[in-house]
Amino acid sequence: MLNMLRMDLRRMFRSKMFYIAFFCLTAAMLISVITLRTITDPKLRQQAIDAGMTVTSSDESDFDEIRQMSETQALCSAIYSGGFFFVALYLVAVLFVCSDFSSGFAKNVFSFYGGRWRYFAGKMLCMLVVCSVWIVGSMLVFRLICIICGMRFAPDKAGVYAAFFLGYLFVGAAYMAQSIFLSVVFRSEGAGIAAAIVLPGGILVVMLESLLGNWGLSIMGMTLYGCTQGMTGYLVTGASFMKSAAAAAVWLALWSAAGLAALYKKDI
Amino acid sequence: MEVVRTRALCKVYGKKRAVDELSMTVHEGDIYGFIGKNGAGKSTALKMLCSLAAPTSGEAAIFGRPVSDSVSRKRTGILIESPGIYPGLSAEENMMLKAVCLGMTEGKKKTGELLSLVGLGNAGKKKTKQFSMGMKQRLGIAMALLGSPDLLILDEPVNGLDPEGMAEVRTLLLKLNQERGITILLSSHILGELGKLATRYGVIRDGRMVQEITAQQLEENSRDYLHIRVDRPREAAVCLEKKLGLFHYEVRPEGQLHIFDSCDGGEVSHILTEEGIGIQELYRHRRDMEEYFLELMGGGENA
Repeated sequence: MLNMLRMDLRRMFRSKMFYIAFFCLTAAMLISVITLRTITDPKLRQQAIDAGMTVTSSDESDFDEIRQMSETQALCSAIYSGGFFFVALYLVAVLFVCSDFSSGFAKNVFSFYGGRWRYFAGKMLCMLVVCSVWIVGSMLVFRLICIICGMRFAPDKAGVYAAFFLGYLFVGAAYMAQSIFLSVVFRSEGAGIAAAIVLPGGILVVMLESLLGNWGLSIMGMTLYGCTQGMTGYLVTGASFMKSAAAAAVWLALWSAAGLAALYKKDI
Repeated sequence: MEVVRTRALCKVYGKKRAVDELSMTVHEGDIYGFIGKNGAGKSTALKMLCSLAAPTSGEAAIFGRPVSDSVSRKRTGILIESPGIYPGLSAEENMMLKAVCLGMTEGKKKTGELLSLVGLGNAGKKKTKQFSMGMKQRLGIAMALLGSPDLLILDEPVNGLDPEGMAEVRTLLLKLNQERGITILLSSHILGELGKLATRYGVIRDGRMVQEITAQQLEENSRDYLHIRVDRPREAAVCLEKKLGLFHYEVRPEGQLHIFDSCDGGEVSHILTEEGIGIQELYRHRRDMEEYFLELMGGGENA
């Protein structure tokens, strides 16, 4: 399994998509910080309004609230709470796994290693390394962007950074198990890209939530997209971390079992 | 020693029996040509040998162990359907990835050696998507050779190659078999190409093994013969045996007699007429390997 992981990491860190996707996340963070800086600075805000920008709130307390956000809260609102981070991660995962099948390289692996769980574990660990690097990278890059843009957010305690890291890593793990399952079943990059937009982007969950709302039902808290919101809620409002973590753990177990079953059942 | 052995191997997809009770044996040192029309079940059978597809029933063993055994897997190199290379990476990088996957300690050195062996030592950083089909196939063979296998399983390794590419791959495979003693099991529907390589053949039709035959037996079976149709074939055979010393013949239904010994048609006609045996047909039948296989495979379509 470690050989598989070494192989996957070697390919991942030499691929362009790893860097392009992180560049997109960086661009999103930059746009978010510039926007926050513009609307919280009265002088810049006025200049933007003069240039044609529309600011819906005129209450100064709303702007104060933004200025008082902590660093993790601001980062959450930039790329995590809307699911953008996981869309990027999901895209990389499906393209990475699907290329094994479309190129035929998977045959080299499966003819050598009997236990297909090794393939799954190798891919999961590789994607968790990517997720970890991106979370830490996003923290560092976000701080750098804030310094460059002159936007100052209050630093958090070390425990909050740790919770931020572990919480999103946990949700990321569940999404990765799901993406591997879908890639193994469909082996289609197109289907994977569509899933990346619809699932971690929250489109499917929001649609279902609206539909079920007619009967007074809610599934948001039980979904992975809901877990992303839950982790953000924990950092912003102090909502339960464990509830979201438990839901993510259940999804991780379910998608891992489904992914392994698909790998063992399907011919290569 | 039996390197590959299958017994009553079956693979069923829905109602279709892709491989049906297939039994085959490949001996050490063989270049085994696995022949069949498109859709005959060659690739499915090879995939089962490589553990890429699970058999519905039956047994498959490599080096006397089940194909699921890790030792048999590690002694086998494969190239099934496509070379199995990432198009965005160079030949060396593809090889290195597989070497890392196999846990090889001297991956770089081995990669260099194998790329030189298949004539891709100068490919440099060129991405494999820019390779010709022949280069890709040779790289696929080099990948299969990583890990120093004792058995190579190659599915249509010359498919899509031009005559020059075919010759290159053929020379390489012969070299591997003769110099390194690697047993090779290769499938193809290009009969002429297999004929230049194989020492044994297995013919598959509708998922079933029709015949396993050595190259020598094949040569005997596909030689020319004199075809005669007479009213009393057995008497005619005895007469020709006595008077012309023709011993290699086959009495077939509907009064047919096939004489494989070299003889003069006129003389045969004369002797049979003298004996009062009526001749309806007499001609020399030219039968080559392709015709022989086509008969076994069930016609020329797609072959």
